[in-house]
Amino acid sequence: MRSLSYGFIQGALDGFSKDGKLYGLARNTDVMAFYYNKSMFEKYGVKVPETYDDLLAAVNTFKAAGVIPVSMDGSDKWPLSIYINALYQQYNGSSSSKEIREAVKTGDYSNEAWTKSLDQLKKSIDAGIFQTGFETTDYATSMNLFTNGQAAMYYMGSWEMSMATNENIPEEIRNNIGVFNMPAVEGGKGTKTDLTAWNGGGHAVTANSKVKAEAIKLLNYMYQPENWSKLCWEKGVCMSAQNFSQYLTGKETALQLEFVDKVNHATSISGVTFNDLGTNQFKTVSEDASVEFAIGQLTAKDFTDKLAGAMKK
Amino acid sequence: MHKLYSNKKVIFSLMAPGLFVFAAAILAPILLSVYYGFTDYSGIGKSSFIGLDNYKTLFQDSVFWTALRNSLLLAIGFICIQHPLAMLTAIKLDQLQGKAEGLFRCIFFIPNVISVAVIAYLWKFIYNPNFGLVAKILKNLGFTGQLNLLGSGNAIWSVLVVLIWHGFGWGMLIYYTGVKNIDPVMYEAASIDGANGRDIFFHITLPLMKPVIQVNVTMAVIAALKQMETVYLLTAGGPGNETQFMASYLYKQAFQSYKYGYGNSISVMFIVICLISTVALNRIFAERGE
Repeated sequence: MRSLSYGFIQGALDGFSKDGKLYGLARNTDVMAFYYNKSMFEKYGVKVPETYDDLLAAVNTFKAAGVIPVSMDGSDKWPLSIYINALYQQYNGSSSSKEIREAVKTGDYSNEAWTKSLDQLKKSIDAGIFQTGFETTDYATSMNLFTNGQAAMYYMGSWEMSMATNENIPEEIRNNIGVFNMPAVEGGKGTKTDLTAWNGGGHAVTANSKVKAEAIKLLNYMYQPENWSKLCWEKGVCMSAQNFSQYLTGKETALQLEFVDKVNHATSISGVTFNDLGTNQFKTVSEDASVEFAIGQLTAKDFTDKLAGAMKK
Repeated sequence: MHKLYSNKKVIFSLMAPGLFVFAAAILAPILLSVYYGFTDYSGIGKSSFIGLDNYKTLFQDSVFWTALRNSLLLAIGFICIQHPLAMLTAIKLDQLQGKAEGLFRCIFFIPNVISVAVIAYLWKFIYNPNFGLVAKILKNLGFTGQLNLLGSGNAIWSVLVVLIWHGFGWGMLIYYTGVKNIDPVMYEAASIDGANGRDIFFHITLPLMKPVIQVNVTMAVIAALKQMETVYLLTAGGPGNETQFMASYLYKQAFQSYKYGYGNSISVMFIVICLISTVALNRIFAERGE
């Protein structure tokens, strides 16, 4: 298969294929994780959480010190949906990607990992894990809470690894950013190598394009490893969906290397998270439901009922 | 000249541009909206005629009723809070005279000229529980704990405050014009007859302002029903769908859920509600008249 010589990561093209046919090429690898402020962790004697209970203990420590534990962009809603997806992976293990897809398609949310993940999220929010008003805090504001040192952690994607080189961020913060995956839950089958990651963004060619042959040639050229894959990493734009380990410049920030390491050692990835696996209406309903659940307007059962109903319409 | 104006061809050719703009920019889109409201068009691709299904969904859609409730709450807020304050301010300004009058007129109108985007972000920051102005003031006053002004339950009231504040200058300016048009001889005559401030207000100022009040209230109700941009930028209808207004909700359905047909059906209901409100308001004011 042509794609192998382009070095696409295992599973990267799944989101662009249907029934064995390839319809497009994946552009980046995005990993959702907890960014954390290393010096804050040291100051308050908190270690990188290995288990979710460690994380909750850290939440208590930070709250007592008047620091926001985790900054969450609730206004965009999808970060909360991804948080739920990530918890699901920790409860359910490495087969989660397939099972979530099935659940969205059939509307069958009977897998107890759903209820467990939702309950765990509720428990965390009640313990004060996110900032007050997280449900209407937008992307920029939530990021600022972290980069201004008001929050100890920030739940966001790998595309923000450029925080480490952003000169607008105070030096003592940007040089001290680390990252960790959703920690393992008690009784769960997942581990820290089960990443919440997907290969989003990409290019496809329409069948009735007048310049179809040229477009395909362009994509084949662009996605050659020494073009897109090398350049986007070198310029610090993002991680491509291809293996770019031979293009490491040696000048990477510690943060970038941590992400590369995580991706290279992943034992499973979530693929596209549940909110993006259905129709546009499903996306709106499931993301709204994620926020409504987080602020206590829905029960866990209401949440799964809403999702089940959203595909049926 | 008279002959020219009574010539039917001349009349028609003078009215034609206006009629054309009305037909193309207002009538045609409304008719298209009505058409799309009967389909399941997603915005792209194929669509099929589904009759009244969208309207059936609409009547059972709790978010639509929340949005309608919010629009009406805003209208009540405008009429019962913003306008009385605007009228009293206009009267006080009229009595002020001199440089202070011009200065304060400008100050009160400033929020109106600031762009909606700036207003929304300004108030988002003011309301922010972590670093906002309100939070800091409360902290200095000794209030511990965190007040989530844009959180569940509080959001709609916080949004109403922003909207009422924003439109204040406009309403005040119109009342100011109304007050200025009252002949000061009336006040003199009244005070000679022994009337105090309260009597003057209720028996002279208010009745003489009736046409201005009518215009202002009608405009306020329509503006309340049409509210979209500020709330979209401030809360995006959130948390959940608590602060949805009709226009922001139809935008969400049409362009984010890709339910263009359903969005259009909301839009048609919206037009119907606006028309009903305008007719009702005209009736109310006509009844009060002689």
